[in-house]
Amino acid sequence: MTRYGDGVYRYAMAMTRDRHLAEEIRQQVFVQVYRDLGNVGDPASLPTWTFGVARHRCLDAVNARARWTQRYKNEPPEDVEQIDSAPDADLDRYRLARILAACLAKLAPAARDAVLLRYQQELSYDEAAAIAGELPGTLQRRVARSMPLLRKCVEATLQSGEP
Amino acid sequence: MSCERYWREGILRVEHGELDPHRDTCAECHHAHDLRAELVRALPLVGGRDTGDPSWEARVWNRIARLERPAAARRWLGGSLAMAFAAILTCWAIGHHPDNDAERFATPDHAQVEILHGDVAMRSTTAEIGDRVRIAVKPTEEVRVYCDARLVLRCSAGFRDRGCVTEGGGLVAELRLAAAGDYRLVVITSATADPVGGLVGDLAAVVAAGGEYLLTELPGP
Repeated sequence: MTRYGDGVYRYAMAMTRDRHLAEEIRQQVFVQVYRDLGNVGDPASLPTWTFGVARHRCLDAVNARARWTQRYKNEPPEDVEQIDSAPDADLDRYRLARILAACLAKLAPAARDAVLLRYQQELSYDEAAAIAGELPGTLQRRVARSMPLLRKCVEATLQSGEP
Repeated sequence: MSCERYWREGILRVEHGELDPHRDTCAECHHAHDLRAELVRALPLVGGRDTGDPSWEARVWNRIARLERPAAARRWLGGSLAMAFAAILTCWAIGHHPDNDAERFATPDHAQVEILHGDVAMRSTTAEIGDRVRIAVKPTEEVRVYCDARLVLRCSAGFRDRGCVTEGGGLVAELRLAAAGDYRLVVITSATADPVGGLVGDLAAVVAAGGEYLLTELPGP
């Protein structure tokens, strides 16, 4: 739990943009991991399996929120404000990460998922594909299509002078 | 002039891990590649300093304990009724009370756990730092105690940490509670596997080896 807990939380946070939901997902994931340990054949596959559970929980949550928003015309949750306490040298990178978090939320869930597994969790395409149940090439195309969108979104945010 | 070729085609080559000879000759594409690299460097930092609820692991264990309580209660009730029936039959048949060491270790799916305050042994739901916890199981079983998901004591027929003894035909493990934490007792009742690091991974290894285990919360300081 200690080894993968933060990774699962940050992934859920980036997928849902909701701190409470991300925390709930993290706890549900590890309860499920514990409950279904008997289904894990090889302990080495535990991280892949854990992120696979996390991915399903996140996509369920994202889809449920989309249905809710559509039905009741509620606004999506406000962007989570993050506290900046890093040294100056890191500020630009963290600012970019904060902008990226908002831009990621504008991608389709499957594209967001592919980008996060590959570049936030720093998994190989083979590992990410095993988690997503897709072919590596499919994820590569999703990421390749998403990166220009992220670039445009980041540039637009920076030009608008938003934090 | 802007070269959008990189964002249309070049980036897919990058994701495929292929070389892009055009990029080396095109300053625009080279710059675009640098921009992509900047995004890639920043992506691991998305949500990077927010680690959520600091007590989330304890909450997970509480949820697991809540899930297990009804099943454990059913097992306990079933086991208790069976034992009571067996005791009545035995008393009736041989005319004496079955109070011996063999009975102490005969419970098939429960370890006997005692908290020792100084020299006093008692069944307790609370413990303090300095108390000792004493666990008795069958000689064929393995005892592991985890504190905050880290293995702190392991006793089996083939592996004995300090604090492991054979006593009265059973295996007894004793641990001094040196620090506050979330203590878990694992009794492995059949085939085992060496620990691989951390409670969840260790249990997965036991399951993968075809083993069975019981996991319970220990009173911890």
